[in-house]
Amino acid sequence: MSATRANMFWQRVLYCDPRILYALFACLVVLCEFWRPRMPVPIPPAARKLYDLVERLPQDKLVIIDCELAASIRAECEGQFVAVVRHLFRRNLPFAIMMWTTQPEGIKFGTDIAMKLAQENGKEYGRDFVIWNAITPPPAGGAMLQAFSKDIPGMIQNDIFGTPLAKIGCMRGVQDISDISLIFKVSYVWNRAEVPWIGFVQSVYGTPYAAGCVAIQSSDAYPYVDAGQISGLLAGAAGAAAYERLLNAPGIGTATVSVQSFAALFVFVAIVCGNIAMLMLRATSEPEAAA
Amino acid sequence: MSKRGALKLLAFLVGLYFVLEYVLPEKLGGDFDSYEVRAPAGCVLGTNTLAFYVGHYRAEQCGIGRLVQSGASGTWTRTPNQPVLQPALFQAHERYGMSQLAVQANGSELTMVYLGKNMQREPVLCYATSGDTGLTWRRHGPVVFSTNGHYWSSHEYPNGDVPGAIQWYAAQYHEGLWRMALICATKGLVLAQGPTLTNMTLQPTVLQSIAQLPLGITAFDARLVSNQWRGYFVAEGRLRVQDLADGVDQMDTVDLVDKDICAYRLGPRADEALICVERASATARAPEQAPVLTELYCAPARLTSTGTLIKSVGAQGRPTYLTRGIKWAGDFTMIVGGFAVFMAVINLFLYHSKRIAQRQPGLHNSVLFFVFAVVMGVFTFFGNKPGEYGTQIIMRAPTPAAVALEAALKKSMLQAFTTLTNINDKRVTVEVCLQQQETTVTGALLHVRYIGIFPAAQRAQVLPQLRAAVASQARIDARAVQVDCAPDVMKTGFDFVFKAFLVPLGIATFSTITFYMISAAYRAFKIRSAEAVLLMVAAFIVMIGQLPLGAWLTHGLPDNVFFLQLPWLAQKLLMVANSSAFRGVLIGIMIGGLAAGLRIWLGMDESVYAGLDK
Repeated sequence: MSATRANMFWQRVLYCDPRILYALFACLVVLCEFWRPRMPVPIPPAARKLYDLVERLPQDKLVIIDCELAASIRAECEGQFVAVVRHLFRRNLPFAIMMWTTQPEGIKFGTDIAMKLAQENGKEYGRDFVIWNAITPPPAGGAMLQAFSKDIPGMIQNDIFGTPLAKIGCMRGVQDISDISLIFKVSYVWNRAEVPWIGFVQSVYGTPYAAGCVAIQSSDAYPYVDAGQISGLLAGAAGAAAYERLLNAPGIGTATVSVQSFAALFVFVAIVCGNIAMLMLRATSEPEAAA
Repeated sequence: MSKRGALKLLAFLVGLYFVLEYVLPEKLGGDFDSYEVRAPAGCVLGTNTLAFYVGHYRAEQCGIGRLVQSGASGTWTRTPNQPVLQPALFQAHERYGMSQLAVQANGSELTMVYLGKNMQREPVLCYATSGDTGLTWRRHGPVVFSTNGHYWSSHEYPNGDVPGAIQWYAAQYHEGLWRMALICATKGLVLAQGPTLTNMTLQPTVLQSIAQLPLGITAFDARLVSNQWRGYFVAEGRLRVQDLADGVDQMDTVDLVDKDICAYRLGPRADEALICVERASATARAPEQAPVLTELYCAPARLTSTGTLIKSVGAQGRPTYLTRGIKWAGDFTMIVGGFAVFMAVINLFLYHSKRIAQRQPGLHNSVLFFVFAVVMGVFTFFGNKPGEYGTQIIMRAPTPAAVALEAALKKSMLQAFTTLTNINDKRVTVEVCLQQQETTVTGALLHVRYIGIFPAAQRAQVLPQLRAAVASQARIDARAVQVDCAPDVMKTGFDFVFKAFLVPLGIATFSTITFYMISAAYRAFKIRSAEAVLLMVAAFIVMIGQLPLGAWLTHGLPDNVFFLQLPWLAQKLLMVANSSAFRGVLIGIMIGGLAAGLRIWLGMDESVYAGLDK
């Protein structure tokens, strides 16, 4: 009888209502939001590479930030964008934010965040940074990048406010890709097929390329990091937190990553519990079968 | 020709254009310095007066050219016609070119110091020597600096202990020692000296910090005068000559005849300097030409005149004309992309219309689609003006009085908003309309429009301040200033729909993945084999090792067992195991992609044209 009772117990555990798991997970996240445990943030070598690269960038060239922020990736990627923009402001490096018409959320997020950070850091639009007008990525994005690399003002023409690029201070002297010191892409993936920066810009002209993406998409970027084709990689909120630590400016990444730690731990605890339940169910079922 | 045939031909031709544009250079033939001439440096070697310069064939392809001055006529001739030194494939320190030459004659030998650009486009100070009046050169690699007597050069720090990226430098061989003045980024001016260029000892103190140096330096050189460095700075359209030790100007700054001097090097004779001048071109520049015209001159050292032209850009090559059309081609591809997006939107409309017309189950979703499409479209069209952010003061009717008052009015009105603590409260636009009788301002009307919520308490605080500011600046009675305050419906609507619907729905959709992943992990991830155990362990290490929890769990381990620390293990798994496996997958994908691309380009793949008549 006790074996049967144990069997039923482990069956209930193994096939429990998933809503119980959801509720436990939600409670854990809410608890961590209030508790905010302080833990050391590891600095991956790829994040360190990006930081060191930005520290060495020349001040007479432009940095391009390819912004594809979206609501769905804000938790992981907004911290990356903010940290890199802060670093560029701190080093007085002029940069241009490049956006795409197929990512309307990125246009709004990129503009709002950049303008807000500029106000906070005492930077002036036009002199210290520019937000390019959004362009449409064609299916054959390589062809567009080929043209872009040879004639940047010709492809972009205006900024997002409609001002011709020739009238913008930080765009003075920027003609082609040789006037660009770094391309930093922040997006869901580290290299979108429609905009193949590595294939048509980094490998042809040697312009350093770095990326910030969600953690789950970062694993296939590591061969490129190892080969030096990606000069720096920020993977998810952990990458953002690492960069914030290097800047000594904790922000969204640091706030998110501590909660994310416990969320990841919960997933593994769930896996372990599921396997324990399976083993116990098997153990309690065998005596019954023997009987 | 059928539609399919026409499309295949069009696709082939467009692809052919891009392939040829990618493969072929912008021009064929022409001199190695047909793009630009820069960075001149000269010296006298015996009876020869020589000058060397960096000639560019394109922006990042260059070589060092040699000029000889004819004794009789004084004209300068390029000899030989080919560069005497150019970046080589395996010379990493000058992979992307050279700049800022300095040439010194020591007996019959010439030493040339130059700034190379390495693979990361960072400056590396290198040098080369020549024993045959500069016709051939032998590279010696980077100049090595040290602060502690240990002279070392590495791939990461090729110039040794130099305190920052070298922006400008001056070099001179004086009394058996090489002596240099370097301007390093973020540090300033430092001095160095040594018996050879691979044993340069840096002085410990910075002579002048970046803040003390002239602003906007475009060229720099220095010479030893009575054992003291005298610096020549070309900055902001002026030449400044000063003693580097104390920063005291030795002569009045000279307003330059040509404001765009981008290189300055003393020599080849005393009281002479070789300069590079940039000029805007009178005619439009072709893509294979530099955006500005560059010329080299031999001028008086104090730049009282531009001097004599010694070199202009070389003979132009024949353009291949492919690059001239690249902008149009790029625009064409973007238009195609725009049409693709447009087609997708039309498809969506057709699909949902059909669902409503046929009263299919779930048609309420289609109705909602149309409602939100129209609402968002209207709000975006009328309310999303990217030019406006934060608090704005706009003057309407730019009368002379308004123009005169504009700056002071804006400053004082913006003060009213600085008392608000929440930045969202500052998303207000104030349009100021001044009422005038002849030249006198008699009244003002302020249209205050805000996005979102402007609490009544804050309105009560800000609006009187705005009224007082206008009254004070325009010198009118405060009662003559009328204020009309209302929400901007379109902007508020756009803001609301974006922040209250689009963003939360996007976040919620993505977040539900996490919940499904947890229940899937609980139910489906069952360890039934050794491989599953390995997968589980690797997943644990990679996931937890990249997060602070992983660092915290193993941070107490001693340093000699660093290989047991989760962050270290995670990085090794990602960079070694994962990279190796994924490289194989990537190579397969790329080969397949190349084959598929070639088939489509050459019209061998019929599936792309499915539905079209043959």
